[in-house]
Amino acid sequence: MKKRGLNMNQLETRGTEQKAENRSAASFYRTIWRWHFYAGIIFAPFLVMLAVTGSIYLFKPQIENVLYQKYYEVTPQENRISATAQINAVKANYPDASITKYRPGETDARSSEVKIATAEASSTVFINPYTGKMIGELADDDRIMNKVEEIHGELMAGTIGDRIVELVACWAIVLIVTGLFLWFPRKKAAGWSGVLIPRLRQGKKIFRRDLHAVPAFWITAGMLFLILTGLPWSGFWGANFQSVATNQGLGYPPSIWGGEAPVSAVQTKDVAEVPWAAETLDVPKSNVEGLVPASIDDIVSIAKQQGMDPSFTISIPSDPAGVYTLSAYPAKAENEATIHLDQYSGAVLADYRFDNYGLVGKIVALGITLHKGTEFGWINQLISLAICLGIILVAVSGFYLWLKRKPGKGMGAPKGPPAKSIKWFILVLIILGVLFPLVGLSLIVVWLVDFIIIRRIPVLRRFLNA
Amino acid sequence: MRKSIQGLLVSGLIVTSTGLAGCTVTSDAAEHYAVSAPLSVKFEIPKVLKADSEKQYRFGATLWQDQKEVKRADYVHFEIWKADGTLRYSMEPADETKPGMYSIKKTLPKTGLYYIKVHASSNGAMIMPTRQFIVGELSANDLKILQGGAKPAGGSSGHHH
Repeated sequence: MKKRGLNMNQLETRGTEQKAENRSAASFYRTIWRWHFYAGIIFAPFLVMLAVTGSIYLFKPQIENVLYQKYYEVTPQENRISATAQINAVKANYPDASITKYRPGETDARSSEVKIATAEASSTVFINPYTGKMIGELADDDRIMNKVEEIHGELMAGTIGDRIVELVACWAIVLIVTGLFLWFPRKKAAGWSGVLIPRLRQGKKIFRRDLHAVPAFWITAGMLFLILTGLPWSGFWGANFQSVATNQGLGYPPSIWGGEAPVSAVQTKDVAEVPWAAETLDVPKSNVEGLVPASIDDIVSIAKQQGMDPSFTISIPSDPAGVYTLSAYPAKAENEATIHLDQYSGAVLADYRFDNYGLVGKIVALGITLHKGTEFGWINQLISLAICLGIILVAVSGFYLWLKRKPGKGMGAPKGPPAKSIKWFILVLIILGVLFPLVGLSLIVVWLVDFIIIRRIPVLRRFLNA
Repeated sequence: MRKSIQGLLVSGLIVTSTGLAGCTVTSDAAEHYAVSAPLSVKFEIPKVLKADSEKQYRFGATLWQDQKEVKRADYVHFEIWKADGTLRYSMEPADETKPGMYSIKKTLPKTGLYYIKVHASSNGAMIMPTRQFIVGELSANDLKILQGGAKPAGGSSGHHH
């Protein structure tokens, strides 16, 4: 057995005294290989897709700055017009849309943004804050980066897509664990060749193997990091994980990810009604007399007073009990803030900064900015890009490896050993299945398909080497 | 052996999947995080049926925080203006006439729609609620302003402190 994993038969023809022990080791090795093999073939295409869209999305800030420069840039002047006046200008132009958000712009040379929504779609209206003139409108559906994000996060297939991406991420962990086992040098004196450095002069077969296994090892940590920091985003595992963390006081405070924002502490009878329909003057006075919502200008000045990051956005309440929400998600997680303000008095009902997140929340938030490549600027982007390119290389070289080794007939998978000899591996699978229920569910499906279909159809059985 | 392992695998997974699914954030989760103590104000606005350029009306605001009246607030300022912009009492400090109760006196010489805004601060918390009130009857112009949804001839934003 000169080269690991190249020829299982060699393992089995070794000396008799160690035969039993070796059989068990070989059988274990073969099991790991088999799982790595099938998981790789099934999930490699998805990993390539995630890596490609991820590589693009990493550069979202730069790409959007170029694409939307004409919407973003304004020439600073001495006096800004009020936020209320800016919003009123938008209202006049879009009488049927509701105003959902206002963003003042982080610098003097940045336009302000008013987010509008109709029943069908939502879009952003860019405004010159010095003239009050509208610069342009950009529909959410027309934002290229939104599409990239949709592919990356849910394959453009909504909830089902989200679950598939989550499954891919979880199985990528299985690939990493099994791959590391296959990579791990089993001869002590073997040196670094074929482990940390690819062997270039030992023939094509070896080079093909090293082209997969060696770079795979190098990107393992980065890939695992991207998976683990991406998972809290996922709709099933992530949502539940975040809810548990929030409920325990360890995660994000409620309303930032899951959970409700506080409500404005006002009784309905204290709020002034708008007499929309009345055409006569006998509007009941008691209905008109009451509190009126704070103006956006007040909210902007409160935001500044509270020291919000200048990139903050104001979410505008849509019902009488709602709150104004200030939120900022700048490049660095430490500068994040979410503040809920009473719609009428502007009182701070909840003030959540990074420092107020629980430990898990802090880790997740930092993980998100690292995952998106914003935390450490361009260095962060370049490292993440290198990991993405590495994932593509490893997926493609793994696929190539299979194509080259595959026999004419059949899949070329190592043969599945009896379950008895791999109880440790099954235990690991159970643990992974419990930690990541989607993996568990897919394991059950794999087992059912194997048990009900494959084992009963000889052709399939031979093809898959089951 | 294989059967029992697989049985264990299946049942264990079903239990954890159903246990995890549908886990949502509870309504009291916020108590684990930074809890704010917002200020609130209870207005006392005189019922004025007729405009009068002589009579001084008292406007009051009781300040609350943590279900207690706030005595000796950092500042409590009032401003009052008429919706059509024809009358304006700019921001001025109110007197603490009773513990936690702040007030000013003003004449109301014109009928129509008015606004009163209180700027108050205590212990780092700050509020600026605005209340609508009517002296006498609404004019046709007032009604238009109300139906426009906007707040014209607005009060001052934020605070100069």
